[in-house]
Amino acid sequence: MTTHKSWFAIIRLNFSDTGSIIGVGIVGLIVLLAICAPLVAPYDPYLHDTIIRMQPPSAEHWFGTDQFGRDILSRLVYGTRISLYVGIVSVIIGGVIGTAIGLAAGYFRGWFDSIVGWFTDVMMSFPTEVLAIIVIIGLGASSTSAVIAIGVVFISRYIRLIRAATMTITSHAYIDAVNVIGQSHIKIMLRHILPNIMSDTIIMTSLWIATAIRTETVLSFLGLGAQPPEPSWGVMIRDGLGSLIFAPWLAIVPGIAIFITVLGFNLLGDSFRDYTDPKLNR
Amino acid sequence: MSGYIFGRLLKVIPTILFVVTVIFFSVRSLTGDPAVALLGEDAGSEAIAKMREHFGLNESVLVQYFETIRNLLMFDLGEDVFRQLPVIEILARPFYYTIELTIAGTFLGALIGIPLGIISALNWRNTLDASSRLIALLGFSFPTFFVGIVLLYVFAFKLRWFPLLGGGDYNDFWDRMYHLFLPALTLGIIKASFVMRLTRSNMLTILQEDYIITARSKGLSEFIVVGKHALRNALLVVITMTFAYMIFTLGGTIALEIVFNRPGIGVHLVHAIAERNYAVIQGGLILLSVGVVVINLVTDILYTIIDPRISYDNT
Repeated sequence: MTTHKSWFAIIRLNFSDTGSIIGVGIVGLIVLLAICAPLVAPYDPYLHDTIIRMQPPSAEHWFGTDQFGRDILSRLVYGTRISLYVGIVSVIIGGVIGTAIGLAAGYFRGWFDSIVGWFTDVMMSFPTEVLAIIVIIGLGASSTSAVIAIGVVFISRYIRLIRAATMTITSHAYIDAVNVIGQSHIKIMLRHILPNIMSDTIIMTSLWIATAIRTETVLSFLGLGAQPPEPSWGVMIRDGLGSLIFAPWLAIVPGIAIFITVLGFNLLGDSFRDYTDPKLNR
Repeated sequence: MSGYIFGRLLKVIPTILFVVTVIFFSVRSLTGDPAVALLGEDAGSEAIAKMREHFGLNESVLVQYFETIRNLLMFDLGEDVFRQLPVIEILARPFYYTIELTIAGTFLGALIGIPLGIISALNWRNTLDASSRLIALLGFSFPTFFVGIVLLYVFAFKLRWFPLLGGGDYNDFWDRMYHLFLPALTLGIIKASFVMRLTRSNMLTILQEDYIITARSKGLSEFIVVGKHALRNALLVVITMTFAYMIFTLGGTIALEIVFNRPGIGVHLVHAIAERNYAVIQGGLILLSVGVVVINLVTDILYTIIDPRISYDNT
């Protein structure tokens, strides 16, 4: 698993097959939409207009309007902000805490490692949704709670990844060498171990952003994440489910948006992985 | 072997204790007073105080915690203050509905995923392989509940092949199965992409083993080589892993129950959170957790049975 290639090499090689090009394209488009949401969205995503309630897709409203007369397309565009916010920030929370604990556990071993190992096993054995619900119940439902809950879920995933990689690197002779010349443990971990496990971490991160985005929509759908009137895709599906018979686009359109976004991050992660793992059967 | 299983059983205790503790303190930190939630904002402070007294909410958190643990040891999940019924009575049937859906989804996932994985491995690097891998990737990208909504719309609303909502009549087996099929198929489709990938990679690894080369050089037909020698070994791992991943299917059922309005744990949990029903939230989460722990336990034991290379001595 530890093929030490530079980050730039990963990104450069990304344009070698169709899957990665589509992945990069989708992720780029989503990021662009999130940044330029006010310029791209044709209407105010919060504006109620009861005269045009539940209109099917038309030239004025490409994806129709919802039960309050809000423009679905505009809400979708603003929804990219929530998805990216939750996806990226939760992975950062999990990544920073998990990497710190995983590095320390893999480097020092001993009793600390045993406790961390047990804790990780327990956490990992739980379905993402159940673990996230347990955390959210304590915090109250909101998109920030969703970020923290999903972040907590990812802590154990990062610990497991980083801990195993750290153990492999620590067994190399050059770590003994820097130890002998008297480098501090912190310096060894940050300068000599961390850079060498970075490529693995980046691959998993882009796959886990996909998982985080998908989980956010599930939590919002359950009413435990973003709250109305926030234009979260999960909330939009939840609102649309009641009128599935008369206005199926209300639930279907945001669902397709989730699918495309998650697919984009999955394709990106897959192409990173295929490149760095030559052993993979292709 | 029995020593290993006994040791593994012992490990369940600290795990369950840890999880119950986390759930307890998470539920306790819920904002809002359950007595106020039950009696309404206008209730007199005296009535609220009486209610708090009745449900032991005036006790310190630690006393409540040990009370909960003690009750759990006697399989008592507490009392639902809203309906004045034991939580275990309220959640027993929903738990059954949830487990039923999880198992059915896992089964359909294996039924769809294993043949696709075998076909994919046998056509390694062909168009067929590429397209089934693409299907798997698509499966990883759909949220389960959205697939449920699409199936519900097409097969229940438009084609009217299946009932719209609900879990079916509890006492009528066939009616239950009829209501179960569509949600189970949803889980199965999502699960199939995982099972397919797993079957494919296991088959590919095994097809490169020495004993497969031996079998082929003996002049055995390809059907025997694949069916008898490769498939058998690959399936052991696949079935065990599929069982282990039942846990993640369990996570998917929660949102799916909302979509299909199945009276399972997920629906009860979400309602209980909305009405701040401490005991039911806690009981529901504990039941789900115990389900998870049991599945893990059985998986670990299954592994030792199918793979004699795992040592049981140093536990």
